[in-house]
Amino acid sequence: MNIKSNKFWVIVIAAVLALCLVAVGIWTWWRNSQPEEEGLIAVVRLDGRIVAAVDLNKVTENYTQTFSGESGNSNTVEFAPGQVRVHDATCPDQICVSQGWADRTTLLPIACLPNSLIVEVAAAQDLGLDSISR
Amino acid sequence: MKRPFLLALACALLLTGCTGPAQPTHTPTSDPTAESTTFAMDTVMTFRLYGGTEEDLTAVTSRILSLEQDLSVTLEDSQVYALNHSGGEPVTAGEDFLALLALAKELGNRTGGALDVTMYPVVKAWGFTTSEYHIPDEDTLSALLANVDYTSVTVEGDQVTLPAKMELDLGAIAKGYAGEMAANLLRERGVTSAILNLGGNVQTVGSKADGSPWRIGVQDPQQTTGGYLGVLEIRDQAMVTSGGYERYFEEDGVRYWHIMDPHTGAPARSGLVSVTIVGDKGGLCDGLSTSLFVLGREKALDYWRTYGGFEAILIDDQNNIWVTGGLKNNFTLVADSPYTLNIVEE
Amino acid sequence: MNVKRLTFCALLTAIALTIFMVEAQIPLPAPIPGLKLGLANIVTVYAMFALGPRDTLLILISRVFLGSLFAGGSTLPYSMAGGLCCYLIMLLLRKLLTVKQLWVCGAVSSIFHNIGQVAMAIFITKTPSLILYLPFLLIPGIVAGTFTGLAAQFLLQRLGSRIKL
Repeated sequence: MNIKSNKFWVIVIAAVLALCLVAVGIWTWWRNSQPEEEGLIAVVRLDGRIVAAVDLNKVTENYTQTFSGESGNSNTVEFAPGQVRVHDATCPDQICVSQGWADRTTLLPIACLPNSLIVEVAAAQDLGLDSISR
Repeated sequence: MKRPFLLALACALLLTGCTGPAQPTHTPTSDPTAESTTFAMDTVMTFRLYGGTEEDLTAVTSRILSLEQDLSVTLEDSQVYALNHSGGEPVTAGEDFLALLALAKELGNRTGGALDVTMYPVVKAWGFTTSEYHIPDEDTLSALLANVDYTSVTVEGDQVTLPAKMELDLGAIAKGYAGEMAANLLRERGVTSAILNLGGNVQTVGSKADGSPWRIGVQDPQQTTGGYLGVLEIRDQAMVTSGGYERYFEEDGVRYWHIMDPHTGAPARSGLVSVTIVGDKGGLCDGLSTSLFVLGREKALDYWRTYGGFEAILIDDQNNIWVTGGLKNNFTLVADSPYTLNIVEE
Repeated sequence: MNVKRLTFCALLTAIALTIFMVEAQIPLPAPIPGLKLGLANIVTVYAMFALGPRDTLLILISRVFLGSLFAGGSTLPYSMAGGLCCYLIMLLLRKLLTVKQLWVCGAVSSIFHNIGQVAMAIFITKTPSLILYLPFLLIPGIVAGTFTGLAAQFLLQRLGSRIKL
């Protein structure tokens, strides 16, 4: 097949698209097939550092915590039983706020790129812990 | 296809995308053969046995409930309650009570009174027993502290005497001891793999079913709800953490926690915010986690060098973690931790 | 660089910036950071084939820099990484594609723009799992990129030969 031909490029681009769809499909299936473990950890990263790791299954009532970054921006994160969201933020686009609640089956981490803040939700089993000493 | 590099690159990126971040890093162990959650000693306890039976579980649970029955400071027919209401008369103590009193005395002596089991009236005055918190005034505290002195508890045979007006509470060591006794009982019954969590005090029996060590998270003191800052791998040992985050109240922006310095009658301000102790004896670990918190880093590490027999993870209020030498190969900080790890050698 | 060429570059930058600002007013169909039509890429693709790599780089960098200045917020590293990644692959595509295949350039460069963005996001936030965003960005990105490429293709076919620099 000639690299200069349209056919070649149609196949390449269609293959990338197909791979994306498969990736999305596999990821959706994987996220939904995870057993409900005793631990569901929300990890908050700000400027590349973990600033909070909260076991969402141990949260009994909603509470908020504000994270302020190097640039002076801040995001207020609301932790709730089994889920977490960015409640409000100083970023111009407000995408992180409109991403809404993230829980065990949410496909994408919450990301506020202007403020370098990420909120990920992962099953505690992923972290290989047998127990927590506290 | 002469140049499949684009495709290959895209494939590689996408494949890492769907398998990379979320795959479990450790093969999950098989399910426990017996498992239960119990509310005892004012806390939630979970027991998971691998290879043990329901009978083993029942034996452990009843052993812990009977310990609570004997040692509770609130149950009216407990031995501790009897002692606290004896008006200075001798009271008959059971084996466990005597063992705990001996441990409390030894720890009190070795730590210069940083662990004092007669602090109960002071703890009550701060409201930590009822959750109706308030800051007692100086006069109240000094009056109460006059009746705090673990050395005035006397033991003769199985007879224990406590001066009237004084009150004793074994809460600082009882949970750890209960875990230790439960682990001993399981070992006697031939269980080789079990993990017990007594309200945050972790007690392990043997190693995991696949022979690998247990992986235990260490609570992040800056998080009040379940976050952890690192992972410690242990086998057949107890791991107990005391921290200011466990129970506290805030007034005028100041945090008052339940770990009291017996010398001041106020929350211990030693610069440490969390102490984790790992050792063979759960009771000792429990008592040390509280008393080394009170002592502060320097004295805590002096204690470790002098007496040994345990390992420790100390966390101070400047985001430093101090790990004693024996744990240096077993402790892993979470990635991108805000904490600085220091290894302490002997 | 002669005055005529400089003026033409400035004009293209202004057009790209205008398209960028107008596009920023279109609400996102889904709350995914980095998701957009990328219509300003019409100008980049066109410039790459009509003017060559050197001028394209100038136009691209000016547009990304000014765009992030006007839009506010500190998304500059992400758009810059995406833009440069996109630029690098275009250098290669320029040699491979004919003027009737600019739609390929649109699609492929949008793939690399997204790869650059996501890589920068992973680098800055130290969160490897952000790679999960890639397929969600690529699917609409490839579709939109094909159309922006096609737009550049028509532009080049109608305009390209008439510009004498």
